[in-house]
Amino acid sequence: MRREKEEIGINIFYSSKIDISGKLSNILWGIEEEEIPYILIQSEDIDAKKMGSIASKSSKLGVGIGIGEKEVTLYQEKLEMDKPLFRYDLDSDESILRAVGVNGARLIKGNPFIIPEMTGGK
Amino acid sequence: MKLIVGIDIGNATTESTLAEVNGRDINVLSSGIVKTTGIKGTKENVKGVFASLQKAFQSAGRDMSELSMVRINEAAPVIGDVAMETITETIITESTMIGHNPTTPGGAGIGVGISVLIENIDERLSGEDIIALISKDTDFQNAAKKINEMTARGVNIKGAVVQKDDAVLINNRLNKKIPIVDEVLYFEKIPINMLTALEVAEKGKVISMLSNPYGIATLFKLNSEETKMIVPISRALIGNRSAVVIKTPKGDVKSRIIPAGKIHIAGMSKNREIEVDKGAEPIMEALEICFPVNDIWGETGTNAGGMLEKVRIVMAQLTDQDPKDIKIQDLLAVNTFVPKKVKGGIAEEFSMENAIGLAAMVKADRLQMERIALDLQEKLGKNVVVGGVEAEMAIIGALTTPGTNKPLAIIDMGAGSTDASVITREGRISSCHLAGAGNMVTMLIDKELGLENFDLAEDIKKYPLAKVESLFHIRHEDGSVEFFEETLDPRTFARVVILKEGKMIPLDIDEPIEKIKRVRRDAKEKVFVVNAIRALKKVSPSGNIRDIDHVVLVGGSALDFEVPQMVTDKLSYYGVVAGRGNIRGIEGPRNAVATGLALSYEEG
Repeated sequence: MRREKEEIGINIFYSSKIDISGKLSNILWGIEEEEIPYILIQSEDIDAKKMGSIASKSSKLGVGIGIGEKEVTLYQEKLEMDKPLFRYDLDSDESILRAVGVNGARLIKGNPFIIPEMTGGK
Repeated sequence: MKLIVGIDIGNATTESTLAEVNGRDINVLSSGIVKTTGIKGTKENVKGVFASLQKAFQSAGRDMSELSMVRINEAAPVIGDVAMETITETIITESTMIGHNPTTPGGAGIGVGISVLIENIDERLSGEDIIALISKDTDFQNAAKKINEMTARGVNIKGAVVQKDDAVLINNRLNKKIPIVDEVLYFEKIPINMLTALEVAEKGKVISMLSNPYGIATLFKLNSEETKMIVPISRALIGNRSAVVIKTPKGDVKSRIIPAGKIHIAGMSKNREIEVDKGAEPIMEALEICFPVNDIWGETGTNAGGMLEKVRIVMAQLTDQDPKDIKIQDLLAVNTFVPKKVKGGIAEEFSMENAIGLAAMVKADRLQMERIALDLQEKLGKNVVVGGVEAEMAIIGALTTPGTNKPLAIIDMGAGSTDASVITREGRISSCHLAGAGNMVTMLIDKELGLENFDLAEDIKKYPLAKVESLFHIRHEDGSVEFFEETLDPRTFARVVILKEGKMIPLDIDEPIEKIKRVRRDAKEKVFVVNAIRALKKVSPSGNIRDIDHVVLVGGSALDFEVPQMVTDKLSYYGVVAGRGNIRGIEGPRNAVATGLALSYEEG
């Protein structure tokens, strides 16, 4: 049930060099469980910070996720590129990847974040 | 001309006032304040006295060699302690219900069927109504696939209970939508092969069928006797967005009263015995009947009894007396509601239970102030004397607040006790000590919000709240908005925070800011405002509060950002001018006793 064609949503820019259908799907599932739409956009870039930042600025909801070669970032449109709201390595636990998606949605809903460092992803 | 200093060793702070004496003229030069070292009335205090003195001399730019006399307060030690007795509890036997609010349940509606683990659902159940139980070992994609398959083969899957936070993900992948409750922590406790009813309300609504006794009766086809039995269940589920009720042969939800023992009050002429579980009012009434009180004790094995004995023993050690000789003279009992984890619950359900908060106070007649004076004299090489009675000194100090006059009362709101004294027009002084002060407020906040963290409760008591509404702005508890240039800490986002000294401390409680604010203000009202009235009634020569013209609030709790206003507001109904003290027009509510000690110096 991916809603790739909807206009309003969290923009997710992902590098064409990586496979997002495997473990990285957890990011998408986190957003889905929180009932917020998202838009997947493939990019030739590999820098997660640059992609996440651009994604947030182009999102109508002002929230973007960048999935680069090595890391995943979450941005709110007003944040500077060198200061992502959350940043994790791509090989992080599934629960952490899911938390990135959940937090992106909660940023829009105005609900408290999951802080994986404190709760172990719960 | 000579220099004298008044020193007040309090429970929390040691304050000093440095003054220059010229014949009958006493001119205050400066003051000092430091934390009290050790328990008030013990030798450890001397260190704090020294530090306080140094501060006063430093800010006056004078040298300690010029000092000719130190006056310290003669203090009757007063200590207090607090305890809480929960007097009701809710117990679920055989796990008959799940009532909690996962943030994102799936689907909406009502489903009734037999509870079966998803791995055990197969074609043999076709035609049956089933509620699927999905543990954390089954991922949502497999769960959804299995439900779709089984539904296609004729099994009527009417709903699902999920351990993980997967309800929406599962529901999105179903061909036929069903209500799903998720985040059920103690999943393994759910009884299987039992008739189960499940309800999920639409967004923004609360369940209506399972929170209604007749609703449950309809779903489970109960008779009138059985319907009576399930009332506590439906009551416990009111206000939830999702719930599960399971019909087990012996399952039950009980609300019961926990025996909390008795409290004995021995007065000068009357004695009373009150059961704690009857609530705060009978205790406070009995206390008034027995006034003046000789001693109070509780039953061993109860929280109240234990607390009363602890206070007795601490005071006995402090004053080198036999605990038997220490008498507890006052008690403050307060009714409250505390959240308690439901015994036998499956999803960490909480229920609000009745509880009673108790504060006790003991006062000893003597303290080793003479000993401390001698000790100090030795170390300083200066003349040290024990000055007047603390209550008198505090009044002399309080009268330096601009706008005050006799008859005047002071209320000293500390951490352990609330003390009051009054001076009549003719200059007669009387005083009293009451149980219940800052620490009791902290305990009430701690218990009512279910924090189990005294320091955090203390912060909630002392500082205002705000809600973090975006990464860049907060809304204060009064509704005003403040913006920030820098991104706020993600840990504070969408949370209620305490604004402590420029920092934001996020609260990990799922309560609206209004509720937390109300708990805080109610606790202060129940302790400080009630005690202000109690204290003034006791010290007023006529027993009538209206006969006192001025009330000056002093002590640490008078520095609170809202307590003085609450007391001012309440006392204005009695035509009394009440407000936070401002000693010598500059010190605020601090330094009253030390100022009194310095000003009451007479040569000779």
